[in-house]
Amino acid sequence: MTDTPTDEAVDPGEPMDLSPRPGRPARRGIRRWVPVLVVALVAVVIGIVLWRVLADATLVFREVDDAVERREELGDDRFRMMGSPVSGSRQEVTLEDGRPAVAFSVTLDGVVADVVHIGGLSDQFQTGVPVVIDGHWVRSRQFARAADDGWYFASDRMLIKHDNDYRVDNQDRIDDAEERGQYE
Amino acid sequence: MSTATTSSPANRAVVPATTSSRATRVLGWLTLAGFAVLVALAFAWVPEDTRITEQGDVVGQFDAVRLMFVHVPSAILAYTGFGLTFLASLAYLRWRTDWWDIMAHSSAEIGVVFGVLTLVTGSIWGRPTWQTWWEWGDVRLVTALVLVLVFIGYLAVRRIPADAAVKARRSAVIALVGAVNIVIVNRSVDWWENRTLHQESTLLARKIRDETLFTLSFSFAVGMALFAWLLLHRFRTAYLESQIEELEVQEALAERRAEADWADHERGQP
Repeated sequence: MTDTPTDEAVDPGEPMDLSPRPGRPARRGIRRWVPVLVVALVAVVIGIVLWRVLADATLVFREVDDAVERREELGDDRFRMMGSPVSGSRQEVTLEDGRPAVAFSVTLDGVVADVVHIGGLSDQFQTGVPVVIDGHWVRSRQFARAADDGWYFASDRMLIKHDNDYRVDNQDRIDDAEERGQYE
Repeated sequence: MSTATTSSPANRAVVPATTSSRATRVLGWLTLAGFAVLVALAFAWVPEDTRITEQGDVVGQFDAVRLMFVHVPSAILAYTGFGLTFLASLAYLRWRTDWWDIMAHSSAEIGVVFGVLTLVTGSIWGRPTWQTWWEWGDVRLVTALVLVLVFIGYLAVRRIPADAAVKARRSAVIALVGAVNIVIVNRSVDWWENRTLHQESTLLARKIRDETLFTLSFSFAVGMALFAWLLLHRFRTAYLESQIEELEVQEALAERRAEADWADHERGQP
C-alpha cells in the first residue's frame, strides 16, 4: 500500500473517479461457481439417495412368523425374511439343476421355516444370530428341515442382522470350546 | 499465544500469528497419548466378542468388534459437531455476532470429518458382520449419509460469495433444518427396526462386558479431546480469516481516503 498516490493515479485537474473498481482477486482463488456447483451436486445426490430408498420396496424385512402367516398371500413374490438359524438344522444339498445349496431352518417367536440358500455361508452364520434372506416361497417338501410344513424359502442373498449383545456368558465353556478347536 | 502486528496505517490491529497455545499443545499431546493407550486397550486387553449358546455353538463378531472403538465415538462426535452447529446457529440468529457464526462453521467442518469417518468405518465393519459394504434403503445408513451430505452442502453454501451477514443468516437456517436429521438418524434403529441391519443401542440396553464398556468409554474421552483440539484450532483459524477480511476492507477504505485527501490537497482545499 502507498500513503501518497502517484500522479498517474489521481489527476488533480479532473474530477475524482468514484466508479467502483475491479474487485480484488479472491485470496484462495475459489471461483464463484464452484460452491454453487457443489450445492447443486449435493442436492442431486440427496435426491438420488431418497429416490433409491423410496423405490426399493424389498428392503422391509418380514419376520418369520409374519412371512409364514402371509405365505399364501405372498405367493412367489420376492421379499426379505428375518429369522435366527436353528441349531443343527444346516445340511448341504444339491438342487435339481445340480447346483450346490445349503438347507437350514430359521425361527422367530416359536415359528419355524425351512430355507434353501444358494451361495456360501459366512462365518457370521450362527445359531441365534438373525439372518435376513432375500428370496421367495416354494411349495415343496423336497428339502424339509425342522419346519417340514410343505414349503421352503428359496434364497440367493443373505445378510446378517447382528444384535446389540456384547456380553460374555459361560466364559469357561468358551475356553473349553477354544481348546477343542471349535473356533480359533 | 504469540502475536503479530499488521502494517496497515489505517488500522494497526494486533492479531495472533498462530492458532496454537500452551493449552492446545498440552491437549494435543494428551490426545496422542490417549490414542496410544486406546490402541493398547483395544487390541491387548479387550477380548474378542464370543458367546456360547445353549446349544453349545460359539457365536459373536470375534475380532471385528474392535472397530467399535473407532466407529461409535466417530458417530457421537459427528452428532456433537452437528449439534453444536445447530446451537451456534440458533445463537447467531438470536444475537447476530460473528463469534457464533464462526463457531457454527467450525463445528460443522469437524462434524463432517467425523461423519465421513463414521460412514467409512461403518462400511468396513459391515462387510464382515453384515456381509455387505452398503445397503441402499437401509434407513440408518441412508439417513446418516443424508446428514453428512446436508452439512457438506451447508459448507458449500458458506463458500458462495455474498455479504457476510447474508451468508451467516442463510447458512444458519440450513443448519437448523439439517440438524433435525440428527434425531432421525439416532432414532431410526428404533423407529424402523425392520428396515435396517444396524443394531439397537448397546449402551442403553447395558448388554456389554466390562472391558469393552471401559474401553468404549475411554475412546469417547479420547475422541472428545481430539474434537476439542480440532475445534479450538479451527475456530481460531476461522477467526483469523475473518480478521484478515476485515483488515482488507479497512485497508481498501484507507487507500480511498488517502486518494481523496491527495486530490483535495492538489486542489488547494483543506
